[in-house]
Amino acid sequence: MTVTLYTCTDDPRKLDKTITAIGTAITAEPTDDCSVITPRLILTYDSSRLACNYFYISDFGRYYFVTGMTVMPGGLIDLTGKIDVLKTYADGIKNCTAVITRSESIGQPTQIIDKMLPIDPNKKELLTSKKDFVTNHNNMYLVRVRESSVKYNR
Amino acid sequence: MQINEQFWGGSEQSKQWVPGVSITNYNMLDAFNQTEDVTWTLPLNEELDTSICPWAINKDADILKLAYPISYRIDPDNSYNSATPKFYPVHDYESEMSGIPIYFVVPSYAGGGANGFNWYARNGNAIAYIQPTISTKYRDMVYPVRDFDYSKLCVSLTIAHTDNTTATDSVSYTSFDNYFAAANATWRTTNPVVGLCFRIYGRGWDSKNPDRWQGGNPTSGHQMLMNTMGRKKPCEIAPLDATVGYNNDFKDDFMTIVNGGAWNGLAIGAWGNRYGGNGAAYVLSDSGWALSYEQGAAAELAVSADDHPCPKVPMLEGEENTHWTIYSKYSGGSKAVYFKTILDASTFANEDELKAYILKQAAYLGMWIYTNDTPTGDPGSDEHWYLGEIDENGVTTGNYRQGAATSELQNSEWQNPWDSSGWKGRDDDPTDYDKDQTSVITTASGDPAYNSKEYLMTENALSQLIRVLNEFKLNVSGELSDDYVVKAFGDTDPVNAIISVIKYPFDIIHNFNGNGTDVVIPGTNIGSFFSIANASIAVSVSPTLPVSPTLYTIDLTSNSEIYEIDWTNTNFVYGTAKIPYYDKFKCFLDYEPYCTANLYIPFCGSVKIDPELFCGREVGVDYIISPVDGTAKAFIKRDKLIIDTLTGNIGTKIEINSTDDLLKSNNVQQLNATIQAQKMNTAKKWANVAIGAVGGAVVGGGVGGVVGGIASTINAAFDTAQNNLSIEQKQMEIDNAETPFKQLQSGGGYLSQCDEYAIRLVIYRPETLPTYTFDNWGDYGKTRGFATYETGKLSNYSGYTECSNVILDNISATEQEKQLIIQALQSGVFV
Repeated sequence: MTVTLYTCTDDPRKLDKTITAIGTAITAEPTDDCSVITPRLILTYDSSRLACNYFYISDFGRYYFVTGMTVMPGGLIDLTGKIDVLKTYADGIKNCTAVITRSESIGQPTQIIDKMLPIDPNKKELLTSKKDFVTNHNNMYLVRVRESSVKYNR
Repeated sequence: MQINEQFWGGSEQSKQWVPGVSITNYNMLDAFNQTEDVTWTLPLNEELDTSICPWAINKDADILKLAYPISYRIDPDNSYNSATPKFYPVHDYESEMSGIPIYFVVPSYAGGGANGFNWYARNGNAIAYIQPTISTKYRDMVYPVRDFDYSKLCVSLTIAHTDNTTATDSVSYTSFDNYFAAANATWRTTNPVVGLCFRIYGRGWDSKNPDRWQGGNPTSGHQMLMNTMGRKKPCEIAPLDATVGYNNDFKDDFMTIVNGGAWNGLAIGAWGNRYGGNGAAYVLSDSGWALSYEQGAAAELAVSADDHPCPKVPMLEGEENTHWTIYSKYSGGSKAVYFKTILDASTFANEDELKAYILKQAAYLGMWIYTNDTPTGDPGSDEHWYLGEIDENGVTTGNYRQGAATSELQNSEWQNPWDSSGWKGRDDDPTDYDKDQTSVITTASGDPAYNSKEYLMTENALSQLIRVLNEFKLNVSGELSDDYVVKAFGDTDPVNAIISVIKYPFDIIHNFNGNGTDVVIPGTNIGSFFSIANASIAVSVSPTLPVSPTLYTIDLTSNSEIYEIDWTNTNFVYGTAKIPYYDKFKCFLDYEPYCTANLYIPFCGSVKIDPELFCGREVGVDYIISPVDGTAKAFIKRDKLIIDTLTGNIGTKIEINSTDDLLKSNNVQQLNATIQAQKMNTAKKWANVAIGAVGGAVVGGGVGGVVGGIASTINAAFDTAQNNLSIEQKQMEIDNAETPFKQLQSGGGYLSQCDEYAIRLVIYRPETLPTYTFDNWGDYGKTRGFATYETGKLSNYSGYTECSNVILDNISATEQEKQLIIQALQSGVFV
């Protein structure tokens, strides 16, 4: 079984992980029952391989996170892993249609209520805006008077 | 109205703008916190509709804030006029940069002086002030652009080209046409990496930094020519020239609408001799300036200092032919927007294919594109002009017209910058604020009461009126029962000619208008008491009395005005005030239940308003007062649509009681001059008593002021007589006081006279933890993503993404693996 060991510093949730190979592909022996999802392999010991946290099994065509590594007597390494479906099927996943419930690329909150957004329970901003509609504050009087029946002659 | 009176407060609780306080040091940027660069992408080869296209028709996309960044609506019809220019540019050459400007910058208009700022010089120049910078010097207020139609933006299509797929330098720049020129026929293969970017049409560019204008003296070249054709109000007066007040100390360019003949595209002369293409807008300097640009030899992309606003873009990183990258760059208080995309020219079969592809991508943006070096005329005037098509649904199609054929497109219309004919009837017509949303208030007209006349008068005028009527009564006491008097005044007591008095706590004739202009009710300033109730009858009914007409004349020379109301047109007095509603977060946080808003309307009360109705709109209040009864009705409007009403009381009725003591006493007719004086003294005391009584009931003056005016007048006339009286006489007068003068009494309801004189919008907004602003959400998006709920391919999204209802077709994974994929996508992944 051909295995390529890598180091990977990316977040496990990233689809397109950047991985750095440790040496070239090597041959590893599977344990009796070697799961495709959680494989267990026996490698020959090499100190550089202890830096590995990620590997690829070309026979399976899948990428794996290292979940355990045990140095065994006889110059062997017992390597266990768990499949990284995100990188393994990255291209397919990106072409999937789905309901995108949350996305960073939206750039900012939308009109959709986002209850994850932390609201300060103790603080509320008060903003006021005002517009004077009266600038002359002098009193004014409406006086209603009787209309005279006598006209003034100057 | 002062523009700063409508200014929004900052982020501190209860912070508010106080009219009259200088805003010089207030930094609106605090409210926006635009301190980070932001990048968006737009796909290539896709129609951009109203939700996406920021240039032409953007309404609600996430890049909306670029096109309509903030909510303050610049109302071209109302906010701008030559008489009260409120918006004018600020130009800080040290921080200017290119890109698409996204703000109007409105400095304090204290004007003149050391800042070289003279707003008089701006007089007549309408909305068209656009600056790409937020000056550190004048960023008192940043008025974001709203309803500014970027579809009329003219940009030049520039090609950056190199043979280096990862180059961030050693990039050459040339015009689109030159890249495809015969002399450069091999560039498609020798320099196959092609970056497209825009520069503002006609503006000079720095040969080393094509995304940045060269600074320096604004008169030495590299001037900004922001050429737009859309939706700006033309000057109502001719452009100013140096002889009519342009201040050479003011170093800004500013955009104005130039009416005139066709622009030759080459030069803009000095003031007074400028050319403009049928209302096209140009930014002009304060001196003559020739349109030109410098084409860089060996131009390089982004080789400047790290803080340079120009984005550094590797030419190819596996993202070629995929999208436009939009950079909203922030630097030193300035912000601008850039568009770029990278293509691999070698993947195209020939130059024609490449050329068509590039033009198509530009056309998807719906802008005017110029492809040659130096524009030689108005958009569409030569074959180097291209215009992207926007269909009847407001969707860009990628099709375009060239040269004169651009006139076939609806969005080419620009003869009148405010001509919205191409948009009429469309739901997205950005100029049509009415569209079934205009309310018309019906009112009545005609005299509300027969056999009476109504006058509005100042306090001083009223006091004089009362004085004159009483003096008349005393002086012609012998004739009080005369038929002439009765006919003249409708009563034996002339004061009874006054049927009612309603007091208003402010001048409802003038200044009842939130826009700062006088509203004069229909009426005539009669200028003389003699018109009132034809009261000049006083002269004619007592021909035997030594009455001088001037004795009964109200002196209108000192703060006394009387208006006879003409009811021919209306029974009401109107007032209007508007407040822009500022949606701070541009998201759900601006709406209930997170955000609540109240509108306080003086004399009517307050009403809760739904932020959703007003976000990005204007809150308007139309007041209508019925002057004859003091009632008021406030119409609360969203823009021009009435959504609620409140009623209240602005005027308070003042009762006038008469004891008619003069008529009751037979002795009145025998009164001699001394007795009259005593009576007057008594009256004076009554007046003073009235002052005390009313003064206690009225908050802030009120009727006491009226009576005080009367008392003061009496005082002036009779102090001498009073001083001649003995103490006993005075006591007798008090004990036997009669009231020959009318006494004004409180009619109740005076508390309605106490109120703020401003319409106030009070908004309670949530605050986030940490404090986010609408364009700065920190790491929230990177770690949590923003609520999206869209259906699409993951490849259309980037960064942190959560999904549900994933369709895992075409993935050859096992069932168990697909479950793992679903779980991962539901939990969140980084695309």
